Amino acid sequence: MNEFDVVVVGAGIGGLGAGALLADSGKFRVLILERLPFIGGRCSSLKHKGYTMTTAAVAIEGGGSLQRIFEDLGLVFNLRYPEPQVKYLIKGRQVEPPKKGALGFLMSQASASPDEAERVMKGLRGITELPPPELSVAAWLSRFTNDPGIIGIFRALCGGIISLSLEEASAAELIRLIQARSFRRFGFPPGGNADLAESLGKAIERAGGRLMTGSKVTGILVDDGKIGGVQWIKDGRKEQTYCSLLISNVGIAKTVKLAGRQWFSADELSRIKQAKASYSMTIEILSDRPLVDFPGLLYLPEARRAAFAACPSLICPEWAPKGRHLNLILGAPSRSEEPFDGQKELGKLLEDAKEFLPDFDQEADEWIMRSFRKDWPGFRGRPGHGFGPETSVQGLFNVGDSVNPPAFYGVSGAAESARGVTMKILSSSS
Amino acid sequence: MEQLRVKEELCVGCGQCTLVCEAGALKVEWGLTKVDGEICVLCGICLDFCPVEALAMEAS
Repeated sequence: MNEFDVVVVGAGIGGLGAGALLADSGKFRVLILERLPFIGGRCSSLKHKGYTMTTAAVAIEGGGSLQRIFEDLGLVFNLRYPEPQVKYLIKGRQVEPPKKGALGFLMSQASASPDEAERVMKGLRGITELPPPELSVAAWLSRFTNDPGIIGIFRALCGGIISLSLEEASAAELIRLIQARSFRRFGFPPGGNADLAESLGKAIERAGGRLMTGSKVTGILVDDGKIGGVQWIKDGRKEQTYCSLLISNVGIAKTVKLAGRQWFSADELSRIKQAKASYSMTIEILSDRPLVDFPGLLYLPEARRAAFAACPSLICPEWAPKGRHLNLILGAPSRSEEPFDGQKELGKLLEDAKEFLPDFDQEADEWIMRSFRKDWPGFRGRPGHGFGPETSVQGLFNVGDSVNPPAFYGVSGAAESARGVTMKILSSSS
Repeated sequence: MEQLRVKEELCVGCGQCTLVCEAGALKVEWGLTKVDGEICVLCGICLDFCPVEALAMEAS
């Protein structure tokens, strides 16, 4: 008899979410394997000199898929919501968008003439059919306007929401996201992103599941097209267990590598080869005084690379030592692929920090410039890429933001993928 | 003697190693981690925390 029914490889939000929901159902004995010494993956946080620093994710969606998982598990979903949520820095003024009609309002504020904004809004309203997925936001927008103010609004939106440049973001996907009204509300967890991951981890253990960090999976065992088990190394020792269900949270490409290419269809392999990530960049700035004067996101449509700046320690003072602040500025590089020109891309983000955070030069005591790319990207998949959780291998599922369903992305996409896989497994087991 | 090496082809510049380095021997510069061999105490904690296994202890 197998010791575990389900093995989850990778303790990101997708793996933890699926593991917790399956363990909580009482029908499955769940084992989670994680190579890193902490759980949560890119939605976690690390302590650094008394600051709570993210492992990648910035701002968590409230009322979305992750909160639904917490509620289904009876866990407290503790986020603090800034109010106002966002402001836009337009022509030197902080502008607060209205709850309804925000996009039209922002475009009219940013553009040289109101007609330009109206033309784009008409274009948006007139959509009966989504543009082809390969059409970029830049190309779509150029049909209506070349107003730099309006282009800036879209640049900041694409960078801030899906972490892509205008040239790389798909117009169809952005329109879908606008229409789906995803990510309407966000907040910051007072205990850091790690607190969210640890809540899920505790739920797994409470339901009898096992969570093993420092465990590097070296192989997913497939037998005759079906999942057979998994091998890993912990503390230098080789371990193995049998199972008939395996949920991989390490990205689709790595899943194939661990299981062996021979088990996947040619079509699947060629699509996986073409899958693209979204890169992101942040500069986290430690200071005495906040560099943004309200706790929400200050969008920067006139910036070079930055999408927004924020000072989360204003709403979560727990994130910084007493009397100190943690600020950040976040943006997308011009291209989410290698070779990555760090000096140019991060250099432009740094120029943005200096230009749009007026006290940067006096107040920034220490700052750390970070890029999230290649195997640790901002988002592992792009919204609307069309990858589902199922694979050619029976009993092998993918979760995480490499298989986010349409109109979902990032942490919410990972959580939604976990919900989808859980429902599939539960319905086929009953 | 051992030394800490950054495999630049794997490093993404996420800075996680610099956050956990107690000695302050690591810095991310323009998207890649740099090691100050004079300060590094070879504790190896950065190896555990690197999400892409871009750090290695090697004989110098």
